[in-house]
Amino acid sequence: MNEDIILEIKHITKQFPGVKALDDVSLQVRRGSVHALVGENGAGKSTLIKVLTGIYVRYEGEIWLNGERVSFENPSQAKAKGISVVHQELKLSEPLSVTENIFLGNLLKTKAGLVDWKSMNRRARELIDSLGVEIDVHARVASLTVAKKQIVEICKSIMHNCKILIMDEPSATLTNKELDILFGIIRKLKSDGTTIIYISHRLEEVFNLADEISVLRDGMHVATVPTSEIDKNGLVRMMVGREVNAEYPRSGVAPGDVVFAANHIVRKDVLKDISFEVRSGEILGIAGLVGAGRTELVRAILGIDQMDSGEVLLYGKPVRHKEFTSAIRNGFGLVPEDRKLQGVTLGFSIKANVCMTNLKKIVRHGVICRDLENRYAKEYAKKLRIIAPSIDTEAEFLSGGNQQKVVIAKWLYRDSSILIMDEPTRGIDVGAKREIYELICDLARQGKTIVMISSELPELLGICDRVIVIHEGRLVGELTHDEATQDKVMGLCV
Amino acid sequence: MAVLEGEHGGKGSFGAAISRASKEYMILIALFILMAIFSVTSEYFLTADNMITILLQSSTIAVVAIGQAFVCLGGNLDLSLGQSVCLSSYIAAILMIKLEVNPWLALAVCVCTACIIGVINGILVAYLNISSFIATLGMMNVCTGCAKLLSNSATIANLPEQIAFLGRGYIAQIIPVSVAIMLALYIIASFVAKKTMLGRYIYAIGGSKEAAFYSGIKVKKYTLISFVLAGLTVGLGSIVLLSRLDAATISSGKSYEFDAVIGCVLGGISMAGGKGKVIQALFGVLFLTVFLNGMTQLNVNPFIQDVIKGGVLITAVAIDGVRNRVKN
Repeated sequence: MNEDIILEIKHITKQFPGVKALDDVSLQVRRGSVHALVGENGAGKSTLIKVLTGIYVRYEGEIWLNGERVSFENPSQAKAKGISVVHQELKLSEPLSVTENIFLGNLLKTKAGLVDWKSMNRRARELIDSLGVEIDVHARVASLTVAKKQIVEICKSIMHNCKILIMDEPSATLTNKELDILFGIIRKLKSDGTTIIYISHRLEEVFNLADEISVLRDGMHVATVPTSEIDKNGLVRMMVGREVNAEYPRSGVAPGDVVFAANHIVRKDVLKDISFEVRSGEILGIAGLVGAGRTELVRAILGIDQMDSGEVLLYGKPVRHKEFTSAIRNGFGLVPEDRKLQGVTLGFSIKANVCMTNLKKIVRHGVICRDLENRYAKEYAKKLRIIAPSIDTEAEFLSGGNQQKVVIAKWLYRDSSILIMDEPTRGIDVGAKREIYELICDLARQGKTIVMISSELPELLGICDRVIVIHEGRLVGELTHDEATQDKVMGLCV
Repeated sequence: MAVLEGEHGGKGSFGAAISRASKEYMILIALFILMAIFSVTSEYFLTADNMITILLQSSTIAVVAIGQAFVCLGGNLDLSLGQSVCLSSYIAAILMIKLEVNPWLALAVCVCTACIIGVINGILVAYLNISSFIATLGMMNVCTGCAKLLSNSATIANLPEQIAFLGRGYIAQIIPVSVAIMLALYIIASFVAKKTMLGRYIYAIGGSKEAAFYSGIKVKKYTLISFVLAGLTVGLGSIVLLSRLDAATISSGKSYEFDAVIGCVLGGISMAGGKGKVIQALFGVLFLTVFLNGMTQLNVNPFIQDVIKGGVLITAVAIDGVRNRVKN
């Protein structure tokens, strides 16, 4: 066994009903290195992390840690062996203080068996100071910025004697300045001997930080290369498996008349005087950082949240959406942010999901008509190329891409003419993403109006006719397809 | 796996259908096994008389269990059902005996009372976002208190003859009217659950409240309605019970909420909501009644029966929980 290798993964395969999330993945991580793990959404990065940290217990293959075979029954066993994760969604207890969070599950005790606040606060302060950041250890975590919360999470891992720190897209919600601080911390940890597995979509960071890069694609390990031996284009090719410029289809539709306009929409502390309009056949993108107010904007327009002032014009006439159902009646449909929770009902069949948006359509004389339900479900499943054994298959057994198609099918079945999609490709694998893009373009060609929120800038720039940028509840920019570049939009976002 | 082209999938979905059916009707198999065992251990068990007794004992609980089934399918729980039976029964009995109101009018008021309790439960749960467990637990105590206030815990007996046939009458001298009413209600309820928009909405909300909301379903309204349906079944169950006992007593409806939940869960209606069939509640209630009847035949101490009943509920809920967890 090579002393240099801290972690070795041998032939890991993890299957879910209908999907092979990991397919014979083998890779090695060097001690004290920053090892980047890249791949498109759905490539298997998260699954691999879950296998490594004892969240998934059943899989094929072996994990070797420090030359010793390990198999974790649960996350705490992984933690005890020194593997910690900083998740994208931070797992801190918001009402507790920084110190409490850092020592959570591991409280220090005085001789009398009571909680030793004094030493805990001291040690927490020392740790935070050593990272060169300023955080009050007595502050409640809820009062911290996302970046500082992340640092607290890192401190927690260090306190738990972590040897391998896995960071799952830590940069997704950070500003550039915060990012610099994070990078400083990562370099510091590395020099202290911690091994870091860094997962990110932003390739600049990967080149900036990593010693080695492993690429996953469609559940398979494509290659592990030293950072010095590859350039960005080469890396993207490995991730995507084909040339990149072919990635985004365009609808090619010349937008028609204005379908709806939002005028001076205000919601206290969240939305500050936002106005925009959308035309038929147009695909409008809404860009901005997580928390900028993108989802809140569409919720206000759809009547899910009430706006304090402002109005929505539909074909030039003001409409008031007192609740979501009135927006639906006016032809709006929403593909919500959280596909598994809000989009589909996991325990229900494809047909029950599809027909849920409009039962009246399958009711005859007050009675639900099975034949009609089957007919419509089949029609839309076929139109959207939903892949499943049958329309009676429950949504939980579908892949992410097919689940999302079911959600879109719900609104096509409802004859919605304005589709608002909130992160429609989140967590969907590469091939299916492409299908969703084509589907969106197809809908635009059929004259539907599409509003799309996405945190993946390339896809917004790729398929949208126009992009508006929201920052801290304000509309800060509007760019046509030709004007919009990643730099320009990012410049407006921060 | 294939793109859906119109025809249904092959073996896969057939196998799935079989396994689903076996899961749905597992309780029926268990019921038959139980009956087989008791037939061997007690010679009296498998007599026509005893079978009718079991059906009679089940009938009112089974009617109330329909309401519990709707509430459970919507992802909630109603613990006030039993005491709501008690209060509604007293109100009807007082109207009939003390105020000499027309018996049919009194029965109508009885149903209305139960429905109003359902409305209040529904408002608490759907519009004030109180967990159904707590809201209906509170309502249970309110109902008990009101029933005691109205009656001083005294039994009100000797109800008008007109309503006697509901609980004590027989169709063609064989089938008890109360059992016929119960079966009719199950047929109607199954139809409502399966074939109407109302039923679908309740399933959808139980399946995923969020997804139902984002599909444009009025989650609050239909959650409220599920509790009103429970109130309605309480009202109807109370009428049958009143007539069968020829009295309203402080123990009318005692532990019905409990038995109805056991019935639903044993039958296979998921406590998480959205899964199961109304008819399964009937099988569950029958299983419970047969179980208790058999125990009585075997002279098992009634206090031990209570212990067993509680154990059965916990076991059934645990199985339901495991079933839900296995999915992940």
